[in-house]
Amino acid sequence: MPSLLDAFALLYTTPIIPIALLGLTWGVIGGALPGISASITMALLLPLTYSLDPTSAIVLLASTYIGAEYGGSIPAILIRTPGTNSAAATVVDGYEMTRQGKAGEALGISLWSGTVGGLFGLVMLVLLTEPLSRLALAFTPMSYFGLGILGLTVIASMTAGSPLKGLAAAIIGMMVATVGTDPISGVTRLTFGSADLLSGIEPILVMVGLFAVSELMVQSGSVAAADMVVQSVRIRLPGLAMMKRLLRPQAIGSGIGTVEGVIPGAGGTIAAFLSYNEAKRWSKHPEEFGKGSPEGVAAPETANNTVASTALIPLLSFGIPGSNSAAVLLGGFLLHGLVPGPNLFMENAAVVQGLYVGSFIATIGQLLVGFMIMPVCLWLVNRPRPYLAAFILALVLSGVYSLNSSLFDLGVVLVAGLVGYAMRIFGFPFLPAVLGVVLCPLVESSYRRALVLSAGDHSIFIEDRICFGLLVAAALFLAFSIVREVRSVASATEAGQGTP
Amino acid sequence: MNKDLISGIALCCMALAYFVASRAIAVSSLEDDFGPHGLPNILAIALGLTGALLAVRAFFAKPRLQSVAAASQHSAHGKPLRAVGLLAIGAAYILLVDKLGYAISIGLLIASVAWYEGLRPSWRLAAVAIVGAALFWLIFVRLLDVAQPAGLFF
Repeated sequence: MPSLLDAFALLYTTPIIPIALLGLTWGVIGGALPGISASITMALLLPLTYSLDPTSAIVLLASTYIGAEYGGSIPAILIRTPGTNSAAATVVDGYEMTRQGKAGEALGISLWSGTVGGLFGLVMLVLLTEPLSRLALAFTPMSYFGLGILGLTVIASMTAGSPLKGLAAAIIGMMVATVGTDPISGVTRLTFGSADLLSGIEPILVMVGLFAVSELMVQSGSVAAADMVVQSVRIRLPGLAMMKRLLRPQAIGSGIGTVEGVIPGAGGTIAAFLSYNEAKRWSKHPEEFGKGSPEGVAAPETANNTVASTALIPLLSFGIPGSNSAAVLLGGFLLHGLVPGPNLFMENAAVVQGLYVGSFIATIGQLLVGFMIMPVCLWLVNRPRPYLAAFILALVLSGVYSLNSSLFDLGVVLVAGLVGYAMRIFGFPFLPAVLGVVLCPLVESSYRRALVLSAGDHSIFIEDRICFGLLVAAALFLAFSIVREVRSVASATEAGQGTP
Repeated sequence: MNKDLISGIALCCMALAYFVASRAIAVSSLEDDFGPHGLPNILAIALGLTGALLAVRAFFAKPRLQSVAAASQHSAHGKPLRAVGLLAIGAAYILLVDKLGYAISIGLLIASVAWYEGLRPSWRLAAVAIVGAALFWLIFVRLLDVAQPAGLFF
């Protein structure tokens, strides 16, 4: 492991600090624009890194990644539009807090939790790269299947009061995910001859449509947005009592984010949803979740910011990019003649040290950049509703077009908005649908790959220890959710009988 | 008919349509035992069953509870036709942006949504739309280098 003292000496011998802050600011702006993912934000900078020395180039890209992961939560909280996939879980309680006039508080919790998660992930990256990378290698298709099933059990706790509707929403989400080219055989499914559907429907399109467009429709259809409260333009970091309350969801988010970040392909979205679910399960106030719970903001934000650091572990250890963003970072390494892997730590220790220090600066710098950007964002959401609606729709359509330069994607977002509006009218929850879209490809492709490996023998899912453990955990979580649901129905019935 | 009953019937119809569509998935010599149609078939059946359960439950539910739930849902979501109108403006943007170009179309979108949401046509509204269009063009086309539709003019 590189010496920490050598690493921190880079602070005054190289321009790491301004470069990390520059990358961070750019990342926050990119992440805050719906449709501009972390990987796109990083890729836009890639040509600029030609002229930089390798350490500065890698720091610029890594700090952009950190910034983008954090930035995605800003529109999620303020305008119900997740800037990135992994910010989808933040929408639930973040936007509820905004509706209650607590946007500054929600942004402060998101900022604080993001910083805590980022720092924890960084410590894991520095100290545990070797053992955690072994975990990454131990993940087989069977394990991924177990992970996907565990993720799907989250649905059970998101459907309180309407399990049938939640299940239906999850199935519809999975149906959307089956559109496109089959991951195993290459056969096209449900594309109806449309070339635009060959690569499937991206989850971010569904999320933006369901959350943002449907919300605009609801506000447009109501006589007045009476439930929107004028916000203070001040961002409020949590006080000591709140920090204490957030410790538990932050610990959950950090733990889940560490493991999920290490596993290539798992990503921040699953980590955020699992953390949200576990934070609710272990909270002293589970009834507040979905109604503007600070813990509901803290858990997913901690998780996806932890992932931003720990996702670098398989990249640095083996050269395996676990996500699109990590792939762009890998491109940055290769562009400067650096090959990630065990030799990187010996032959280019200065670059690795620079990456650690730059990521540290960017994570701490989040607080500074957040304080500069947030008042502007809060001022913007306080504009008169007609202007706000116009600019949000313009932002959504411009951002979504940026994904694939496709007008078809804009149509998908509007259709998803219409479906979301209908779901709201008929009382169907969104989150199971989002989880269905995100997890279906992982579950289906790993299941089928595993069966190809075992020649159709299902016992392989039991024989694989990680898969078996994950499936047992999934069964326990499901049982726990069912027991809780039955108890709440029973207590509601008793209360109803007691009322005259 | 209450909303859950309508939902249940709609889900059954959706499941049937999805099942029919999934039958058209081609057979490949490369496919595994489960196949590309395995999951779609399971999902169609699962959705059909869920829809049927929802409809049956709604059919036998107490009428008083249904009317209370329906009333609260109606007040929360306002006027659906007006909401769909906003979507129509978005659809018009998609149709026009290839012809008029990004800068003009996004300006028109801002102006028309703001007008639809209750602002009167005025110089101030026009100015906001022009400044907004310039801002979006600067951010997406110049700063982020995203090739937005150019249209016939520029």
